[in-house]
Amino acid sequence: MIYRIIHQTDYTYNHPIGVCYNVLKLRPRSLPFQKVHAFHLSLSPLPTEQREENDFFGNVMHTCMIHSPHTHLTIKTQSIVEVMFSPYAFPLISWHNYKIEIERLPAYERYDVLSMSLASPLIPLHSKALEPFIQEIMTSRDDLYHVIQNLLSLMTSHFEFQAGITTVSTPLEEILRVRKGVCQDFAHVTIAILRRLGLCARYVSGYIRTYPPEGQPRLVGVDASHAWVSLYVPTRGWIDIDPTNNRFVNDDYVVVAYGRDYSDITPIKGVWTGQGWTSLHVSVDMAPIDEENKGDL
Amino acid sequence: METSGMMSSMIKKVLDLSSETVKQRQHDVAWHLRENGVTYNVYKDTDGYNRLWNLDIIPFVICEDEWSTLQKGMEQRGRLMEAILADLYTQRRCLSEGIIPYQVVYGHGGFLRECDGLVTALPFFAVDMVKGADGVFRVYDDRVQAPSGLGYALENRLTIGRVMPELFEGISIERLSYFFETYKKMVIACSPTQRDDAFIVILTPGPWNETYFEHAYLASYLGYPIVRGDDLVVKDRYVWLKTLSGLKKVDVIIRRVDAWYCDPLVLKNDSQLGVAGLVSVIRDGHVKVINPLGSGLLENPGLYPFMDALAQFFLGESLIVPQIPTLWCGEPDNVQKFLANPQSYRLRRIDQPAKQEVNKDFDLLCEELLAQPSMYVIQAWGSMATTQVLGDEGATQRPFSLRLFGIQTPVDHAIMPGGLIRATHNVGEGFSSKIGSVSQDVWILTPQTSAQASPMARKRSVSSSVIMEDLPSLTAENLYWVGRYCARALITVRYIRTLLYVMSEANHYEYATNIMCQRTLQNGLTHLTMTYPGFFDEMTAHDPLKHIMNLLQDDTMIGGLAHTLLMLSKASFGVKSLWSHDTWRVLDRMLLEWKNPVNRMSWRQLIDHLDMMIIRMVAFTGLIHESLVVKQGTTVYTIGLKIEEALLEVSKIRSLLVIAHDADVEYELLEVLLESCEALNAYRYGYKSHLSLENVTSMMIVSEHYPRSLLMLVRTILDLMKSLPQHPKKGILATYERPLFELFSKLSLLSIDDLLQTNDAGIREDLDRLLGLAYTQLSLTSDMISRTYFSHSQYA
Repeated sequence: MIYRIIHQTDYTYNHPIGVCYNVLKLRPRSLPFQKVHAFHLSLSPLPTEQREENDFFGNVMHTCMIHSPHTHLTIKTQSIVEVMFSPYAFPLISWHNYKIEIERLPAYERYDVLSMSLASPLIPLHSKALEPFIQEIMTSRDDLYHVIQNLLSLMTSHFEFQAGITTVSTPLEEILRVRKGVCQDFAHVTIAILRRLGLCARYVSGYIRTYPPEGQPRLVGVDASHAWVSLYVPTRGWIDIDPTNNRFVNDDYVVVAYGRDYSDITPIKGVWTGQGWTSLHVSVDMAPIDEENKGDL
Repeated sequence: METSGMMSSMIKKVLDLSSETVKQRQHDVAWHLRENGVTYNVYKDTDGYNRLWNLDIIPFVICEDEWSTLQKGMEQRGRLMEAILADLYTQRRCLSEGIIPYQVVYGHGGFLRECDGLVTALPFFAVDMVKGADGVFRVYDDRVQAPSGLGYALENRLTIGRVMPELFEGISIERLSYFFETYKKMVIACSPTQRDDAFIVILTPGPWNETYFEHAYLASYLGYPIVRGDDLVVKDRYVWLKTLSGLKKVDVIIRRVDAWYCDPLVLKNDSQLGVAGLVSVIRDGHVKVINPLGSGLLENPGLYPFMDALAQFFLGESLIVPQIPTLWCGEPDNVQKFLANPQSYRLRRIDQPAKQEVNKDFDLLCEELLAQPSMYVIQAWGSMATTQVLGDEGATQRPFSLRLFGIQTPVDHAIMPGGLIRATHNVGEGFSSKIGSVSQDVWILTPQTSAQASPMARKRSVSSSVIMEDLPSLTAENLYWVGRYCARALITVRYIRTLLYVMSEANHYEYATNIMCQRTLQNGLTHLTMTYPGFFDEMTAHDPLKHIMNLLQDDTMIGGLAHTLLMLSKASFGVKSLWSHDTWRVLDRMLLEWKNPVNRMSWRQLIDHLDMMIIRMVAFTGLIHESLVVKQGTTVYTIGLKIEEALLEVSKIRSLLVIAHDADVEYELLEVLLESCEALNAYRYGYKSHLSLENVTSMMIVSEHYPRSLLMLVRTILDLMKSLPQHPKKGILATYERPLFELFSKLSLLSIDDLLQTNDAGIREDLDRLLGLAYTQLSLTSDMISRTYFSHSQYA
């Protein structure tokens, strides 16, 4: 599957901003099953300085500094990404062998995986509110797949997708209490439960393809950034699940970044000097394209 | 002589003194520390900031042999920590080789993934140890982010030298000053250019930090400017200090800010204490931060159980100074050990300082431990040796901790021959200075002769030229506002005093005149303080005294005197390091007096109270002039002062003279106007006539002989602006000079007679227009100076 993705973010300030620094994690990742044929980042106004680096997790990070006064900032990315998804069977993994299997990994890989079982800035693990969920999904069956199935259906039955209830700074404890939120909250709760079980799970940011209702044309610009969860499964590697949509990830998904939680992959982090408020507008468009067009943005 | 022998002979010396003398000496110590402003700020403490540092008059003595072991142990620890740090931020061999569990690294908040590969050295470190009852020192904490205590150690030595000179008789102790020379060399060696003229700054979170005294103290002792995050900016891949003269490239930042707060761009996003983009400049190698961001990973009790193994792994040695026995709770056996016998262990989280867990509920603690055992260790402290302190209740034995300091040198490490003892009442509380333990000076005995052993450790030989020519912008801005708030406070008090005179003399004058006069003055007060609706509100006007008391005492009323004083104290606190002791003393006294509530006072008492305030204010402003040695500082301070004076003068004349009154009232108002400006005598001397509207207006607005006339104030400000740095060449006006130059021309060409014409409604329209213009131009000037010199928006 090949997609053209256009992601545009517009900031408007009511007072001119003198200096503005941004760290962007917006470039889709190059992965064995995901090929980035083209990527273009553009800012308006033009940055005075710009640099590109990889972060700790291998995500591409752009740092842009704008030193000229402005009241409007546009950050736009265009990418052509090919997702090569092949259906697989979830391996049969005994619950009790999970950690033992991971300990067998070569050292360079072992700690990247194991460290994803620890608490992280936005996912503390000591909350008592996690207990009932854990009770509910654990069964007598000694089979990892079964637990994951239970977890996905638990998320669907206990949590409601609703925008506007939570923000990026709502603590996990609060999300567990209100049981409502957006994909980011679904991902955080799912990761918390997995890690409490001793499993290794990471946060994924990216895009998801949306389908128009039957018989209607695809609308432009209404797609959205998405977030889901990647679980390490011995003998198979990282397997992605989407707790918001209660399913395993397939070629409708494009991966942008991996991290411990949202704080590691925040798509746009900005610091500016100046006062007043800003307004924000985001639009994402993800369209499937033909093989012959994959070279052109 | 053995340590114990030395100690007891020292204590004998102290005890031989009469109890009166001892008391006096303790008092002298406290006095000395207060004089030098040695404080330790305690958050949420009733004393607020500026709590005094506590020092005992008996020093703590370490003999040569014992010191030799400690010194070697410290050097080894320096090498070891450096090796661990470099490994954990590159290859992480000690993980893959199974020396330490991954949780104590990846689970630790100090592991900054943003700084991976950037942490290679540990230039400066401190180690906390306790001495067991068996006489062995053991390490219980490493301090590596931004170790504090150097300044306190230095000040302790100086104070004891002054207060207890007889203790130094007949013994030789190591002096501290050489260590600071080594420190400066280390900083130069760290700088990207390694040149002697490297530009070095100390980054502080600000005066509210608990160890701000030390930041300012070291800044002046070492001769480095002290700056805050807002003073620095990242541009063109370098870090720059914003100064009044422009941007200055920074080579080394000695930070007293926790790493997590140092770069809001990639670290803590809402931090106000850091510099956006700092990490990327570090990555380019264009600035060095001491200690590196990320070194906080070593403030990590999770490493302690494995310290011996790490020493073997990296150095092939055993630890010279052992660790307090520590067990990692990631091993289930150790959790059981703790639960079976909690009172024999101290439970600690691996990423928090020793004192945090003390007051927590035990059940809650266990719950958290069981949810994340790998984040905890248990330590068996065992029984401890004590030190003798004199304290308030006579000589007592107390458990203590010792902090030692080390720095990296080209060869190995240099260890400060001294340190910091903190003795506590109760070990369970830990040794934090926050909890108010008492400190002791640490003496290292040396066989050398007395040439080395002078008690005067502090000869300021280290500091070269301390006076910084280029004032950091934030400091300049604070000084500017000190000037403005000083003028505002003084003028407000004087005005209120005059108003109170008029109100208290209500019986002596013709009633109607007085009432009219009072009303006008009261409305004028509301204009002056901009506390609308103020007296324009019927209800308020009904009980004027109550409203005046609010203006004087309610510090939430913006524009009122109490609020102005609050802002003044904040702005002054921000430039604390620039003041002389006397300046502080006067400000302290003034604020203290003002805090005491004055209920139900007689007119006379109230006026006396204001008189006292005025005297203190005048003393304070005088002392500022005297104590500001930085010329740029005096300039911005005086500009602030004069701009505020001019603004308030405009406001007063406008509210009292724009509306024409009948002759009696007008006469009264003229008198009051002059009196509130302390100008009555000047008028009588200058005009030798009765008060007339023409003369008073002429004196207050355009006189060249009265230094506080609007014309002269504007001229003074224009002159002062010429000495601001980056001022254009002679004969060319800077943008920020234009508004005042225009005002100055206007005032110079003025005809007073025209100005005083009234219209049909009895309003002096031309006067009003002129004063309105003056107000606008002055405000504009203030704004332009701020933008040009303080916020540097043109660099931005």
